[in-house]
Amino acid sequence: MKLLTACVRNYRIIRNSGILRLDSPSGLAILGAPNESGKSTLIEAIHTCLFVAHRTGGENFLGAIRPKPGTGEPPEVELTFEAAGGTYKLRKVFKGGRTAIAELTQPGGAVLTGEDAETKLAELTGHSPGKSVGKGQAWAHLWVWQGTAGDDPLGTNLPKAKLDQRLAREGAGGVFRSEIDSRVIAQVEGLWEQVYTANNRVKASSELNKAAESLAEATSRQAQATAELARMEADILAKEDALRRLDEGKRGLEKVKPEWELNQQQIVILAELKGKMAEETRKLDGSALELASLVKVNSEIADKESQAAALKKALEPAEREVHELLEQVRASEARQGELSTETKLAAEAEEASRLQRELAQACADLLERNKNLARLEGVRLEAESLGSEIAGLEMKLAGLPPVDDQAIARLNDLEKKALLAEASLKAMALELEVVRADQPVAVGGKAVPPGKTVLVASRTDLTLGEGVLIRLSPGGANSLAQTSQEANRARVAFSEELAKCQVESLAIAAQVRNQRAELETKLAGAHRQHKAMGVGKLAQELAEARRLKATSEAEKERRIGLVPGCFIPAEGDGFATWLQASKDAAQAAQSASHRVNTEFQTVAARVTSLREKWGEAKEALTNKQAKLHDLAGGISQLLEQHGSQEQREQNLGNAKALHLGMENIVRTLDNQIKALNPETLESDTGRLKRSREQLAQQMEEANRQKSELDGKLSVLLTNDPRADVLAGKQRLEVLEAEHRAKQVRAEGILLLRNEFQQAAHAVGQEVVRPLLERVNRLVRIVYGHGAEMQIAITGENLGGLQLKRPDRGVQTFSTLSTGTREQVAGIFRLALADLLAADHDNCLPMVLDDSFVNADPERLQKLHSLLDAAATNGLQIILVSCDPLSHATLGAKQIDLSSMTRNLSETGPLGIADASVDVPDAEGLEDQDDDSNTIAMSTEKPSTKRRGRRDGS
Amino acid sequence: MAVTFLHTADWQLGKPYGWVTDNEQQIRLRDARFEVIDRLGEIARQEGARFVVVAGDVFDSNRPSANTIATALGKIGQIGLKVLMIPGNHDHGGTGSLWETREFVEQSQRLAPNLQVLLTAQPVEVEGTVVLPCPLLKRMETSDTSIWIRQLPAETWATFGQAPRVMLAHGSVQAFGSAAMDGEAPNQIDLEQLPKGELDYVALGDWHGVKKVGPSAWYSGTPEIDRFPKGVGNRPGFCLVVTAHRGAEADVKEIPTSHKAWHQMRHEIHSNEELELLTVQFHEQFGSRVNQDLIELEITGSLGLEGQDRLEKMLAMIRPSLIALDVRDRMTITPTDQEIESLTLRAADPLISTVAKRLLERYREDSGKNSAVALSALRELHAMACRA
Repeated sequence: MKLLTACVRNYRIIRNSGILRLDSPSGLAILGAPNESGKSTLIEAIHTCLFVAHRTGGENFLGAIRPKPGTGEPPEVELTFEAAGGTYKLRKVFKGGRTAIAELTQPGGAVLTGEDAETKLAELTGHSPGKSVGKGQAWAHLWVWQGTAGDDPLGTNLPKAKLDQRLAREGAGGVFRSEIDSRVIAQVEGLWEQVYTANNRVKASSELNKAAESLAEATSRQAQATAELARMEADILAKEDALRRLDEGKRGLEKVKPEWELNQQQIVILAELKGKMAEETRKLDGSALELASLVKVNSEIADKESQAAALKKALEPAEREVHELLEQVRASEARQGELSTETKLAAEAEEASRLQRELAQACADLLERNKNLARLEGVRLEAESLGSEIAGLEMKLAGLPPVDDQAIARLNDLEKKALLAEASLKAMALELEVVRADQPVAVGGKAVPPGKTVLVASRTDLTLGEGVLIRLSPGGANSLAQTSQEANRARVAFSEELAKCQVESLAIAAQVRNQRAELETKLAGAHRQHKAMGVGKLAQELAEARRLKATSEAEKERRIGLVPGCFIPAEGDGFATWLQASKDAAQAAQSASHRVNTEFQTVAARVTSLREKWGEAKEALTNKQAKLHDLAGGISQLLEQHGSQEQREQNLGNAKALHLGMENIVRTLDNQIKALNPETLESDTGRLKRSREQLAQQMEEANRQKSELDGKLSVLLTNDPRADVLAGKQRLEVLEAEHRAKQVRAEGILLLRNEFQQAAHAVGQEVVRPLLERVNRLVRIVYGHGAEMQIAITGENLGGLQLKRPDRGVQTFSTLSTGTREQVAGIFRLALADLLAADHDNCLPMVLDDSFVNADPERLQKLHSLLDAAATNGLQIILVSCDPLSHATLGAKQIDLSSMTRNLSETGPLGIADASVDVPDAEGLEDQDDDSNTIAMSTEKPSTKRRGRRDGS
Repeated sequence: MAVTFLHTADWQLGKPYGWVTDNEQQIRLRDARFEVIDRLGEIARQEGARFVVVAGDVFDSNRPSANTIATALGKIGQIGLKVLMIPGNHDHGGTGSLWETREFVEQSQRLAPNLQVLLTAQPVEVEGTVVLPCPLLKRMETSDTSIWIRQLPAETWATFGQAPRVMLAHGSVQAFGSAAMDGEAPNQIDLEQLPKGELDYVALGDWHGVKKVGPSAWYSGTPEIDRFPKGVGNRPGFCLVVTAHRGAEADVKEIPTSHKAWHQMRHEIHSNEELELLTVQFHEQFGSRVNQDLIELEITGSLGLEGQDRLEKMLAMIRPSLIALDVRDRMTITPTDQEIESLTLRAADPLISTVAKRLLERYREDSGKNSAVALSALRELHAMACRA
């Protein structure tokens, strides 16, 4: 089916569209006009004409499509189109009710009206007219309304029945599923829902779960029963064990009994023997004590007698020692008396010689001090002479000019400078000699006759006669003057320095300096000599010497008084010999006194020592004598108590015999005790006692356990644990088999469902393959190689579109951008139209109102290629756009609608009112210029075959 | 002197029948074991028995529940004759056994004063008969419990005079070969070693079918069948009325006592037609019987998916009227070519055919559980496809 022309009047804002030629050789047309020009209203009017029954009334419908502002004229639409191999003209006037008009002019001119027209129209469009515009209801896949370009094309308006029919004819098998398939799937789903949740978990209410629960419950019961049986059997085993232990205990006690009884008898015997043994041992101990007492007395007496004899023997040397010591004491005391007298005499001689020696010494001291005083007086006189000489030298030195070495150095220096300045001055001066002159020559105002030499040392004028004046400047004048000044200054400085030194020349100055040096050397020597004489303390020394002399004289006089009659030789007249002899005599007397005194002290010490020894020896002797006395007393006392030696020996013999008898008795008893092996007997008692106790304890424990188990086992339970376990085991086997069977069935159901789902998917994909192939041809044009669109199948429906691109993976339709959604939807619709066109002479119109407005230029270019390909393949593409220029590269026929709304006043019968357009005649449309906006009925049957196919055929 | 008495054994009261999943049927089976005691008493009285001997395994375990004991004692008390019994391997004596419990002793005196439990190996005289008991005091006794009888001195035998001598024992006889049959191996009784001419009847228990194992030596078997019979000639469900004579072979009369019928059936099926025949057979054999039969059905052969469904339906139909149906399903389920085609060659139903092919592939290529799951899925699919 192809739309050829459209003419709309009094439809909303469209007054009169004129006859608009919608087809073009390229199959592409653009309805272009600015916004609010009525583009969308025009295509709505065309849609209404095709799919809304002409008698449709009601304010909702008519009110919506009537012209605004109102004109009173009814909305009217006239179309021409190709369908079923012919050209038809359709005219509808919407008035509501019977006055409405529907006319369908068929090829050949026959006109159908009213319901007949609608019926035929429905046959041609494949869609029965409805009662309202219902934008989404008819040809929704072909008619993309403004603002819906990005809607999911698989929405509710998909022409499913037509698509299924078409796919059935083109696809493998053609149908998603049969009715029987559906019924079986429903049964499978029913079974699956009985068993599984949506997540394929086994439902709690399912037979499988019940079987599993029964099995688990039975397993649990079986575990309980097994535990119960185990407890019971353990109790039985424990009781058997208790009985066995009881029996063992009894037998053990019986076995122990004879040994225990023998042990106890022997214990009694042992106790009796031990009693006797204690008694006899006590007696034996008594006899032993008696015997020991007698032996001890004998021993004591013998010992004392022995001691007395030894003492007696020791007394004699002691007495002798005391006597000898006494004799020695007496002899020493006599010698001590003699030495006492000698000591006294020696002391007196020593005193006299000491006084003599001290007098001689005092005399010697006086002589020495007299000599010293004389020496000091000599020194005093010499010092006074040297002082006079120093004063003379100092006076001479003071009379010489003050020239020293520094002054000589300064004078030398100044003289050198003066001589140097003088020499410089001489070197700069000009020597002028008048050799011959015919005119008077004057220098510095003084005439110089020929042969006269003049030294010019400063700026001087030279005149020759009257007319010649020559000014001479030796050394450049200034330098010569400066040198002259310096020479003067040097001379002055030298003279001043000579004056300062009070000399006339440098030679004299040198001479003075030498004189001064000589005097100074002499003076220094005198001073040193004077100082060496100790002049500073000479007076003090003299006073001290005089005082010492006086003291020595007094001492000499005092000593002479102590040694009356003493001869004192004069000095040099045997004085020294006398002095020495006095000293020697004093020394000898002192030595003699010392020797005698030492001997006295030695003898006195010996006397003391001897007296002490004598005292000690005497005391020891006294002690021994007392001890001997005591021993003699003790012996007498013992003899009185214990009798004589014969008596004592008899008593001792009796006691020994008694003791020996007692020992025999004790030995016998000891042997009897040892024969009983007391240690083993006691340990046996412990062992047997322990054994009996352990056995008794074991029996007691076994008895207690037995009583306890008797209590348990003597009572029957309400159930039979063995039967329960056996029954449980059998029951478990049955339940396990049932569970296995149910599980197999449940898994079978799940498998069946999964297989159906997979099969449905596979079949679905196969069914939609023809559609997908068309879609993907277009997809690759826009999105390149590798891109493809996928259609999910949900049951018998197309579930959703997905776009797969190599660089972006798979995206569902809803996640695509707005622009891409428009493009994908457009592609799908084009493919769908292409598929469905087979039922419409291979051509269907596709209206795209404001589609692809979000495409970028590059993508838009590809979309144009896509649209061109679709048109080439036979589809009629009508784009509605407010910006036709954006589709300039499409190469579509441009239809300007901008004047549609201005023609409202030019009303008239449709097809003839507008002089600018031709009224198409159903009987012969004729192609005109491609760009023309008018059409004419051609006499030829229009070809609605696809160009591509036509070309191909 | 002749004495008539009733010989029975292996009552195994309290047997749980755990493999029977229906609780009511379990109770029914357990009750049947008590009810047979009434019939034994009735037979004993009718046959003029002077007493009853029970050769062991009165109870299924040696610690039965108190209620089981009380019920048993109540039934024994109603027999009205002296009842002598020994413990067998199931209810053996010894530590922890019911025979020692206070409840048993007290209730026995109160409910069954006619009962005498012989726990000691020593002769007992009852109604002019010397009973020589060989009680089992362990579950597995390795020594022959009848040794004491062999060792009885001649003087002792002489004291019995002309009174018939009846040995009462529980276990397997060597000549009988328990390992190959139904007995339980450890408790062996060597009949050949018993003193010749001294015993007039040997009353044995343990073997559940009635069986004569010597000139005057019999297993009475269990009076109420408790398991599917094993081996040819195994005849459970009887009691023996014995008339013993001193010095002569005893007269023994077998009397059936069991009420519940235990059937062991084996069928091989390869087609739906054979299945149909089996169905008819079941209807004819058990159609009018309710709660009387137990069937152990071993099915072999091969059926298709539909046949298997039919078989299961048939079994489900007969199961409620049976006490128990123990199916040993050895059947191979093999989808028939027709079934496979009906599922896979369905151009009009693409999903069913696709799924069927996949399942068939899994069923054929996998093994074990995976194959079973695939087969189960195939069966479901087949049933659904048929219904749809």
